[in-house]
Amino acid sequence: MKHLLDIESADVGFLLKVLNTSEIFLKVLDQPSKKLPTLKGKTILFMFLEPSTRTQISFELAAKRLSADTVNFSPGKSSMQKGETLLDTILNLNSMELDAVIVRSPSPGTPHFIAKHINASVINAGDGAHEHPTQALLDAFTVKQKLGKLENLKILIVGDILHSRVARSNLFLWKKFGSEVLFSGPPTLVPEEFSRLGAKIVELDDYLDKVDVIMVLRIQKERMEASYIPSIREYREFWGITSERLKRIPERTLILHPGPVNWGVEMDWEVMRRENTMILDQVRNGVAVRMAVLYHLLVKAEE
Amino acid sequence: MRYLIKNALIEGKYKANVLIEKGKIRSISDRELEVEEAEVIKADGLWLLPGLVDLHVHSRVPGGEHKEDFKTLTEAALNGGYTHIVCMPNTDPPVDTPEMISYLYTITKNLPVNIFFTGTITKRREGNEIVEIGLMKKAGAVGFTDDGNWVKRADVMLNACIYARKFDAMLISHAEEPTLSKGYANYDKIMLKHGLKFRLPISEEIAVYRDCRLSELTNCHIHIAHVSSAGSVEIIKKFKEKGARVSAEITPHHLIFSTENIDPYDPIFRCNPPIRDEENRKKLVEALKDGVIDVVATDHAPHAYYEKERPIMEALPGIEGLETAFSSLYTHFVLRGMLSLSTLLDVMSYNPGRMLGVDNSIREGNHANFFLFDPKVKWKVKKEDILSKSKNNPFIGRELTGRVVAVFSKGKFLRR
Repeated sequence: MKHLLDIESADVGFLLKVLNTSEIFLKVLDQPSKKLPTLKGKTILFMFLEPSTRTQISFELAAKRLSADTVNFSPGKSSMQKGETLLDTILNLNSMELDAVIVRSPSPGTPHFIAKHINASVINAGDGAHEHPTQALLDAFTVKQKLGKLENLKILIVGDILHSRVARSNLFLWKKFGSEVLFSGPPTLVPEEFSRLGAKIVELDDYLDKVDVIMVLRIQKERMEASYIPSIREYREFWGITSERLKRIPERTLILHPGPVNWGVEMDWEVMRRENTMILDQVRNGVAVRMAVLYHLLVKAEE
Repeated sequence: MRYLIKNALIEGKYKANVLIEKGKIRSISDRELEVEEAEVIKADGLWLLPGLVDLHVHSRVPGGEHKEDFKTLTEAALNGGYTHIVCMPNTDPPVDTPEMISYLYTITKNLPVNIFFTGTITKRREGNEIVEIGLMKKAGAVGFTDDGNWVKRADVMLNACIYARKFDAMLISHAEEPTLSKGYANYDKIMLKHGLKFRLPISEEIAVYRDCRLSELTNCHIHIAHVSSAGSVEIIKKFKEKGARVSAEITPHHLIFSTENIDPYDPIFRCNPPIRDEENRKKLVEALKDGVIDVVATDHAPHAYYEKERPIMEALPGIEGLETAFSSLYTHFVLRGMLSLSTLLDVMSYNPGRMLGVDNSIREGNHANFFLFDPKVKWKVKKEDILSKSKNNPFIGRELTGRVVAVFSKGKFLRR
């Protein structure tokens, strides 16, 4: 594989290889010296067309720990502000001989667009409401680390599914591994149409004790303005992982969140105090998983 | 100048020789015509078909001359077999005064295609104050539309209907309720999967219903532009049954493409209203066959490469159609037995012609507005085949059967 544009079109063998290699890279992160020469001489461009903190830092650390040279493109400081189109920008960047471009964009399909016009490998770091493949991979890695398997699991995703790239990538990934994905949330944000894509749409309270993993999504305050939800307190009452609901979630059930969390909205702080809440493990694993993605796209592909 | 066309198949049905004199069809005969000083055009194996009429074209003049101008538009129209085209007024500035209408007719009158103009419904296309419908009609406006925008204010549209009725002016509705059409994709599982923002079918249906009801109430002729949803078809059908003066058009791209047979991220397919799913598409074809939809119009919408070749969210909406409309519909529907040639000629020439007072039928005494069509030739559409200034035609790279060979328009013979 040359690009990682989305989970849906990715080969399951490639995804499993990434997960296996991630274990090795995770061990490297425990060493006093965290740097490997693997990507020496390779140049990676970060093209983050919308703000991101953890994904960008995670990718940068992954690239640097593999000794790649990294350059940053930020739209605020670029000639895109002067009206240069993305096509122009990409054609120019293509002349500079890059090895990989890591793209984050508010517009779905942007990584696919860039891949069409550039010779470098393109990695999708989140494109609008479409996909966030490395997030789903690090989620899967975290679950496998704890539960020892990827198949025959029940994964419940709660929240704003409609606008979530994390939900879509996880849906396609878990289906490939033979696990079941359940969606729950306000009907305006969890359209029935998702059941035609293979997700099971359920009532949250009926499934709190019936799943292996609960993945909680961030609820954005803008959703109120567009009248998807009436208020934050109403959301919390019906779909929040409150301390009351927490009592009904078995201790072995993993709770994940892609971050950043709106505490007191989609989740109460008590969730953080629990043993099997994996939020910080996800972040830690994210660096190793992204190292593995870079390795398989930039080194393995050449061999 | 005289032309003698020999052995053409008239409307694809019967073989005849056709004599053209002073821009008119002088005689049609199955016998040998003896004519002196005539240019002889051998048309063995070719069909002679009535000139096509397009009610929905974007000339881009004024303000968008980098996308298209009247010269390239004319070449594109002839290349597709069109002899009559109607330009939309959503230019920059918009066509909202009788002076602009007169000006546009003046600068296009010597071109070899019959070009008609529409005006906006409201000044500056802002949806608030109606234009001088009477004066603009007098200057030659064949219809009024805020195309690209729906007239959101019901009070303004009601008055526009009542007022336009007085002058027997046709209003054309770009029917999309704006709050439900902020996105750019159909609502279906494929578009949902790709994380695209929606332009719901119901946004069209709500707008279609309001305008059909206003037409019924005021007896003003309202023409619904580019219908895309099966729900709209149901509404139009009901109002037509009740006798409302409603007509409707559909584009070749909404008839041929569906979200199941396109790449959802391919910016070439971004258009308003969006390409819908297969279920809708099938019902649209039926509606055209049943006569609920009267007309095929291309919504020919040229855009420069760099305006179109962008991530889908930023790509400008619009698809070119003039040059491939007939061949593509012939290939997809006539050859597969889903539409008859005579239906295709009705919806692409006679019906829209009637709305303009134009009759392109192949009859002695009529103006020579027709084209010669080779129904057998298979061709892969290349960029060079497209004569429009822009090349955002989704058929580039695809194979079509049947091609326009020559056109008679405004008395002139133009060979491809």
